[in-house]
Amino acid sequence: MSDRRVRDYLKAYSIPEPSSKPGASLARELGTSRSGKNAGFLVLLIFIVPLVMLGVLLAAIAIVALPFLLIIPPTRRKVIGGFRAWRRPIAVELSADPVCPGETVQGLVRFRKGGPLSSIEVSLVCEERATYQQGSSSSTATEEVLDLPVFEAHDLQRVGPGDVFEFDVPIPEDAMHSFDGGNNEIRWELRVRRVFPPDHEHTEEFLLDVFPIALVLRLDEELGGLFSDRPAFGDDASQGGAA
Amino acid sequence: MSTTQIDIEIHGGEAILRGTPVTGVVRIDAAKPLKVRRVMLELSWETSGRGDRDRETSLELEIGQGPELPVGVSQFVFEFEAPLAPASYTGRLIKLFWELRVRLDRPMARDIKHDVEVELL
Repeated sequence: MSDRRVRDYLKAYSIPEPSSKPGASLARELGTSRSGKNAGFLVLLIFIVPLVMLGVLLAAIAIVALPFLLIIPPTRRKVIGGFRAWRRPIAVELSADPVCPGETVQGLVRFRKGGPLSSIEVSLVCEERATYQQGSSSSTATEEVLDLPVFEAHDLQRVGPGDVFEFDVPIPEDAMHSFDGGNNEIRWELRVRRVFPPDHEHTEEFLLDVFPIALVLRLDEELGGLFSDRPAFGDDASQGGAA
Repeated sequence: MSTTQIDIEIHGGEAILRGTPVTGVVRIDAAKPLKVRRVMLELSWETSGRGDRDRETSLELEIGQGPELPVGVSQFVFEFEAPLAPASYTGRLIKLFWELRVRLDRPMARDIKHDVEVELL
């Protein structure tokens, strides 16, 4: 999605570029962050030496503080859950990204490594993020405007490497498209919550993008084939009022 | 009190569908002769709510020229294609609204402006 004309269209809509890449099973594998937002990497690189020193200091503090944090049950659940999730990464794929309001697309969670797992829940979340200046600091308020469960499996014991859970993701017809105006953002994501036995949990967000139908049709018409991995409107995999 | 009244009429109502033609007429009722360089029509979106404001003008159209508007009602017909741009939205933290603005660009004087809120679908 690097075509300049596409970027011009997305800029006009204030829509971010999708962060997904080609998937192994379905068309697109969702990312957890936007590539454009890593532009500060070079700046970080310049300050790498003091950062490394700071990191060492923080690590030392963490080593001292961790045992105390682990005494608090909710923190223990999340810290250990985060560690276990990091050890057993997952991939989330969709049959299309971007998607349009009214469409239903196929989704899956694939386990890159096997291991114990009690339950997994996947929900489609639309979140408003409003950033504002307060004195000299910047704060971001977030509010979920949609939290739609799309899949859940409980009483699991173990998953194997390569295991897959499949589900449908219905995008509401009245959904607002993705939007990033700079200070105000409407973000769509698939939120995956895993619980590892006995009760360690971890929640991870995978970004997807909702485009207005008019934009997708215009891009298809003018730049034909851009969304060739998308099912055409009206196909079985693309149900709903998108005609 | 302003001696100039401006009215914007959009044919088909104030709900506009992206990518479709929009037509209408601007009526400017001047109580005395009014020097203007240009009569501009601007379509822009803006956010309000919890976050700092985002704003962008999607369309600027010159619909009339000076040097002077006579006393009485002057009419300016306009036509444009509604931009492919963010839709109007009212959420919990964020509101995104569109405004159609007439701006009288005046020499050596403050511009006269008049806005109407429109809905971009």
